[in-house]
Amino acid sequence: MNRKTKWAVALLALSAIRQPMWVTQSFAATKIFPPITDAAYQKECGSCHMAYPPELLPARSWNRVLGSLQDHFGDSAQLDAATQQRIRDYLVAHAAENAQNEHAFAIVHSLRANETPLRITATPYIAGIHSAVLDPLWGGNPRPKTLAECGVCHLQVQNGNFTMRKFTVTDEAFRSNHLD
Amino acid sequence: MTDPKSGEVRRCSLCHSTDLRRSGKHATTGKVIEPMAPSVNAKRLSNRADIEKWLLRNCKWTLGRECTPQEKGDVLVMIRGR
Repeated sequence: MNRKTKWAVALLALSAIRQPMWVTQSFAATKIFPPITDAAYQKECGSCHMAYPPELLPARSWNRVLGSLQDHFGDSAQLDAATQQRIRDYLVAHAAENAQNEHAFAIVHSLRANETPLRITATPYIAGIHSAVLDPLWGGNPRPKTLAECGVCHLQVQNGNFTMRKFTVTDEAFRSNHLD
Repeated sequence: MTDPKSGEVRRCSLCHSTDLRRSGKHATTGKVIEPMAPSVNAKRLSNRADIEKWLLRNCKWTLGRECTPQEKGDVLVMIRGR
């Protein structure tokens, strides 16, 4: 066996042991995010904005967010050390790379290894599927002032479901590429 | 303190509205903030740690510094009376 064949055999053997999730699970089942189970996260972060599913950012981003609460997008979101650590542990444990979720998978793989965005909407995958919404020339309605409150458009978001939308996207190309 | 984006002077009412018996809206995210007045929202001013946390955070946002004990007292007395 030459080198290439050896590699191919090794890869095949590996994939037989640990099948990737997208082979064994249906995509539809992995689109819904599980409910937030940490009361401290819900209370402390959820009073100013929706408590985002932790699956929407990689662990390195959550660590960066939790390390810069003194200046949280221009606001002070200071917490006592114990609460901060508890929330950090929760978010990291459920971060995108640790989740069995189609969107989380896409978020992780849209990022370069050296990229650590603070905003969910700064990840290439999420920015990409919202580009039409953010486009000032977009003919859809209504154009949100900010993307911080997912529930303005995603009406089922309290159930972890981002698939249902209030608005009508008029751009057919966008619709066929990005919606459902 | 002046908001660097809008150029407006920051005030408590930008998030809490001018009627504390009504709900407000977070100035940045737009999330609804329940009424501050204890007469319509019994949860307000009921937890010491929460009061201290929010006064620390929100004085910094509004004034760019921590509030003095006198200022905190004035705000709490005003809210309690609503």
